Amino acid sequence: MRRLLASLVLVMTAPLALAQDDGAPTMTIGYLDMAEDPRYDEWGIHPVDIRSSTAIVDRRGLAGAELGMEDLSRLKRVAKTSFAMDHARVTNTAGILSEIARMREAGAAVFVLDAPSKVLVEVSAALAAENILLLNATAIGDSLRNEDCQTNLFHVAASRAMLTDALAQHLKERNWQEIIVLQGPLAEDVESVAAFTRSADLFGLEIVDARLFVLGNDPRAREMNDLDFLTGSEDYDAVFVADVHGEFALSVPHRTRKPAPVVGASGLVPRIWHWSYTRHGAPQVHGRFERLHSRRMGEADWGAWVSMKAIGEAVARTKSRNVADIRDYFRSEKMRVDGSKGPGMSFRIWNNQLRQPIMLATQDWVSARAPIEGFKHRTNDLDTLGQSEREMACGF
Amino acid sequence: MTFAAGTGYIFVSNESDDTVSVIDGGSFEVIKTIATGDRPRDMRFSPDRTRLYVATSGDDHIEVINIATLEVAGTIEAGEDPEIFQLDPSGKILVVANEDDNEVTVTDVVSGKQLRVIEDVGVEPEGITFRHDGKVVFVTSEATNSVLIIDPWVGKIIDEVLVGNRPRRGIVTPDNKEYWVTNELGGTVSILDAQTYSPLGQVYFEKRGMRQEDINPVDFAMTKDGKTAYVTLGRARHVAVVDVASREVEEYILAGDRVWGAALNRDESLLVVTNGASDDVTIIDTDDNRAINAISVGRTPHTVRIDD
Repeated sequence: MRRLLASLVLVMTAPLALAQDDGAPTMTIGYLDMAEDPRYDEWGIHPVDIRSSTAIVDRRGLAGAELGMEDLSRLKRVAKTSFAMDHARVTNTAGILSEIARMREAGAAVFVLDAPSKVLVEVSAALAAENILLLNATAIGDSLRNEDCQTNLFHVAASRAMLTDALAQHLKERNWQEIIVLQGPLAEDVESVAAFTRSADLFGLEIVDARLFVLGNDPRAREMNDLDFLTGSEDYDAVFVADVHGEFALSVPHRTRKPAPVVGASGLVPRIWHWSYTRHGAPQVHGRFERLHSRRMGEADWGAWVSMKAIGEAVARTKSRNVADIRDYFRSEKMRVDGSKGPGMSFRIWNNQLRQPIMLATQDWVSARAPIEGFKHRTNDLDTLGQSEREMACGF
Repeated sequence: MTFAAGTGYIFVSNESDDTVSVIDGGSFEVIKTIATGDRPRDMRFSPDRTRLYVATSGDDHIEVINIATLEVAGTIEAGEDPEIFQLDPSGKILVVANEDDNEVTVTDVVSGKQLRVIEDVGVEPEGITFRHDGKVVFVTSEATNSVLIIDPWVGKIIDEVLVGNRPRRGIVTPDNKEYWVTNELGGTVSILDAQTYSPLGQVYFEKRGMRQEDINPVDFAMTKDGKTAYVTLGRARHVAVVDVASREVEEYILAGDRVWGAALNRDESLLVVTNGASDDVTIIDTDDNRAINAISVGRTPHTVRIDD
């Protein structure tokens, strides 16, 4: 594999293909996602999708990428570039690597990925030395922004730490101090609890009890599957649920032993996007997306859409389609991309993470947007969310 | 500091309440709340000031308010989701940005009928500003970060220029030489040559205690002598007073949350601004650049126009 990729470096220095119609050169952006991605697992369909008010939907970010391409087509006059997308849906890490190799042979050098954190760690490690750009549209794993970071990998999706920091700020601001934690059985649930524990420490919340739960009805396991037992602690102000699978979490709000708000995987959920957001030009984005895809725009869609917009912005501003120029722009002071959720967004140079506001949303409304008023940072309040330069373990 | 000719009324469109508030310019009392169509946003007077045009975005047209009766007296076609619009200096045509459809619609004001639609104007077109000779109109494209220069009389796109991030509204200096445009996310104002469209410079905003990401310039008012521009700065809660010649900020005036729309009265003694996030308008005395009054209106006040 290493030899194959090395030979491809030569291929990609070939000039970009010219569009036939008007002479504007075409830049092809690779887009990769996975046929089996646990984050898009279809457990709720029996036979209708109980998690959608309209229809069975595919929640992959591809629909958002298509909206992004639609927006990029309008950039042609100022970017002097026609943008095209090459999409491949694969089954595993090797599939992503071979598709990227194929696209590079055809001249592509910038790739947007909708894949789980574990896969992205493997893919980006394999391509670490390559003169390409990878944009992570959807993976929230904290290790990608720390020990597994790569200089050619940029994160448009928020990190898990950013999401739990947003939640912790809200809990603190509401003065819901004492929290019980319910943790599911999956590795992501462990990571989620670790992230929330860090956030709770940082913002001065107290975790008064932490329980493991399982999904089921076995009376012999009631300590772990019955909310009367799981939430029977002495005193608490709120319940944090870590449940990447999500089915158990749905049953927690309004069924806790004591009257307490539920946050995390259900109740009030930290999200990078929600269709109910009505400020900062978001309604226009919802409208364009829904007219194109006949469904609500989700978090993965936003990540893919902003990935495309960031690439277009870099090309328009630098007047270059060169990987090094785009990367330098991404890492420069000038970098701003508009995600229709408030301030212009830029990448943190210490780990290539896009700084951005986080929505705290119920199923149908954005109740708050972090950073919450009052949480101030020395230079940019968006940096009250996620790991600071001092905290992180990324050694660029 | 009094209002001269006209009714003296201050009109404010309330985007979330589907109303236009009418404020008496002498007493600063709301004397009437006019029910309009869905989501009223930009407003403009007819050249003779007998009518006020209101873009009701949710109802896909422009409503005509009779200023004598303070009632909606008719509608004008304006394409889907009209937001910002302007009449040409002769008052014959009306040009409107259709934000959702990424189009610009040109309408005959007299017949109320649509004349032409200009497509491919970038993503989320918003600001519409005529050059004073009426020959071209500057259209901002919010999500493409550009300004399009369009001949509305034939529907031709003449040029497109990259400006700062999320360009919103424009204004042409009275001498017809410069076009100024606010960059809401860029936190600046870009200045183009109004004849050649080449970039001339930028206005920067900086004030102790004002966060760079909170500086969201949106709307303008400019004095008739072309010397002073007032720029509303959104979440920074201030209005910047800019010396047009030097492009330097002279002063910052405290207003309300998400200060947005702006208008000067006829003798330019008063500046009225809408505060989108505090549901009120601030009245500013331009002699000493201080807020002298704040008046509650409806939810999410968008645009202010003064008939004096």
